[in-house]
Amino acid sequence: MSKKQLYIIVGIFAIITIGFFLASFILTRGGNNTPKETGQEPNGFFPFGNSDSTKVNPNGTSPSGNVINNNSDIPAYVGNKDLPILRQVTKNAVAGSYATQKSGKEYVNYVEKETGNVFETRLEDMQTNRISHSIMPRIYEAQFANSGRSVVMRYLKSKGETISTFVLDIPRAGALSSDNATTSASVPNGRFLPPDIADLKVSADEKTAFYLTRTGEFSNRNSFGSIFNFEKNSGSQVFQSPFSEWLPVAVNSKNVLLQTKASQNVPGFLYSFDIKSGVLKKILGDKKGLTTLPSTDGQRILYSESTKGGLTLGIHNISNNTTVNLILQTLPEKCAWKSDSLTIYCAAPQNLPGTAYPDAWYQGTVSFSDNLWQVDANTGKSVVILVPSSFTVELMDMTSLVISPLQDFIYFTNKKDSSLWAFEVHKAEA
Amino acid sequence: MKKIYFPLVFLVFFSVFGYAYGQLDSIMGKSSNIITLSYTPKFPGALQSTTVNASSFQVNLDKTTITWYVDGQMKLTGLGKKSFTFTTGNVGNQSVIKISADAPSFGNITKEVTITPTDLDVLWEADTYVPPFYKGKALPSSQGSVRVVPFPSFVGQDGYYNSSNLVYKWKAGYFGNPNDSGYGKNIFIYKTGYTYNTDQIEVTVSTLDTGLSISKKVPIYVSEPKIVFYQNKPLEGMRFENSLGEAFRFTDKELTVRAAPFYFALPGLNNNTASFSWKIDGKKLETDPDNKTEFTFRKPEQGSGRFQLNLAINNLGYDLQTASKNVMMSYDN
Repeated sequence: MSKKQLYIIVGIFAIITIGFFLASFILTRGGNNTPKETGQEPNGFFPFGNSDSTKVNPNGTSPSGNVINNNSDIPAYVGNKDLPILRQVTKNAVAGSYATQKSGKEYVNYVEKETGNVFETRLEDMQTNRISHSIMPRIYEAQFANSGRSVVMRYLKSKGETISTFVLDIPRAGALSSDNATTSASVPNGRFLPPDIADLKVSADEKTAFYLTRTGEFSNRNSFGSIFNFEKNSGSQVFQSPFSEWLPVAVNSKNVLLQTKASQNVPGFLYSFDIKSGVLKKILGDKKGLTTLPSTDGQRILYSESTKGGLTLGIHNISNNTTVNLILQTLPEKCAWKSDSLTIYCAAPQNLPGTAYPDAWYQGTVSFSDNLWQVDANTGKSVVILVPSSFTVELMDMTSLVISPLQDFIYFTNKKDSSLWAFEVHKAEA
Repeated sequence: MKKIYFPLVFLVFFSVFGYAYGQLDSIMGKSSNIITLSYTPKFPGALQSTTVNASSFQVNLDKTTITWYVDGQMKLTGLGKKSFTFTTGNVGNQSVIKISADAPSFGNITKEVTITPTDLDVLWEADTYVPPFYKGKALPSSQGSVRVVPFPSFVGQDGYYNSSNLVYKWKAGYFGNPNDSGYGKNIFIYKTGYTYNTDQIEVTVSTLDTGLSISKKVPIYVSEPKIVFYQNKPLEGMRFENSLGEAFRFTDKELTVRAAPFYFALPGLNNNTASFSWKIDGKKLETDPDNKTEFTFRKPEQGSGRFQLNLAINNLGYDLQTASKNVMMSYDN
């Protein structure tokens, strides 16, 4: 064997060895998987095992320079204390958001629709951190619970008609908990709730969720309501009805407020279901196209009623059975109550196109260009506090409004593209 | 003369008897029959304005001072106050309405009535398609099935009546439905009329023991089914938040369009007898029977252009359950 042949053999052996180790490294590192509904704990499907969360700079790049979201056209905010009062938190579509605070600093958590990843953004410098690496694409709706430690993610299965609901637990140790950017390992955990949950609402204290399923053919259909406890990781049925078109709009430890699904020409109703006694008591009723948003203390109901081609908005006081009519023409789904139950923030269209509400807005056949209003719930006095066109060229059809714990920010989703925005409301009010 | 005597004796007898009876009532501090109380509506609901009327054949109430009490509290007094309006309490909260009349010939006459508010909501749902996550109501279309479910609120001594323990009487339009009526029959299923009709469904709910009863008629409007196009993005998923509208410009290499057949009576999107006819600029496209509602389009690699996408749905077996929708798609490179 000549030296040349020996070099070739050693070279080939070296290449094979390097290739083997490279392949092993890639395979052991593992790809991200979508969890499967096997009825088992899907821990193995969540590649949370990375020792750190990926830190994302505000310009949308990771420390290594890899683009991991599409925020690159957002102005760089680092070190800039004069941030605009209206800020785009994400350019990508989000499925749900959650407001939290740590050490007096405001944060917003959110679930990205495309990946199912959970992110956290600190509002003072717009620094963003990814706190879950699990890939669950095509998330349609996400609700945070359990003090932000759990996220209920809902998505359509492959055929596109069956809804899956997965409860993802997020170990908070992995979140951006201080100015120190390093993060620790997090252990994944989660579980599926029953298939085809029609609607779900997390309770005000975030400890439970009420969800609705239905069984049987149309002729003998029944609707069932169950309460899932996030800490106990168990659920129990509390409600049964031969009528199935319910929407849970508020949940606490004693009652569930159930609204009938709305359409322009159909009288709608809002009931309070007493979990202990099983009694269903009417709160509001016989109002066409009724949609509702209960106040934080549960004593008032912000509601809209359909008129021919339009909407009216009012506040119903449960205790004294009085109503305050508002000048705004909008849907309660575009509003949020402040924690004192005295102030409401509402996004209202600058011009309300004449069509059938709320049907057309739910169907996405009409889209708004909103301003944001502050409403005094006692007097009904309404004041504009944000005209988005003063800050951005993007038109805003605001929905899913969330008020931050320190009441400094209002987060909302722009329904036109599901991007997440933050509005520094305390500066506008001042 | 005998013919005159008989009515005269009859009149005198009853006048004397009536006067004596009235005096007796007055002496006993109550009056059961001299004054009659009636109220409208016949079955007042919760927190509903209700008018109580006093009438008498023996006392001229127009010349009598009348005082009205609600649960022992005086609310109205005055000469000839024969009617009184008040607001009922919540369902099951009884209101005791008492009248006190100072009639010159009869003395003080009292009468009371107890009003227990009942309530009846009539909800209904149609067996028609709306997309998953849709927050709105599914509307009935021509010859589709509708379930009507009443929610009566009757309160007795033992609390709320169980809706299964009540008697239901159903009526669709002018016709009663005895086969669907009866004890515990709290669900009524029927086939709607044709598009733009309004079906009138009436239900009367009664208790077996206490005589409580209430009726309600609900109009159910028959809608037209319709098609709405949405984008189904590969990673983001369904964009039910925004429909494609009349015109759509697509910039990605591929575009998947999902049709939502709102208000069609379909047991499943693909498992049904409806025909889905997709066309581009009038040319028919072959449909995947396992995916009738979705089509994926690839943008040409060069140039620009536009085409008209059309979908027509005909739900076989249901008259007038048809719809068609166009969208103009444009692209450039």
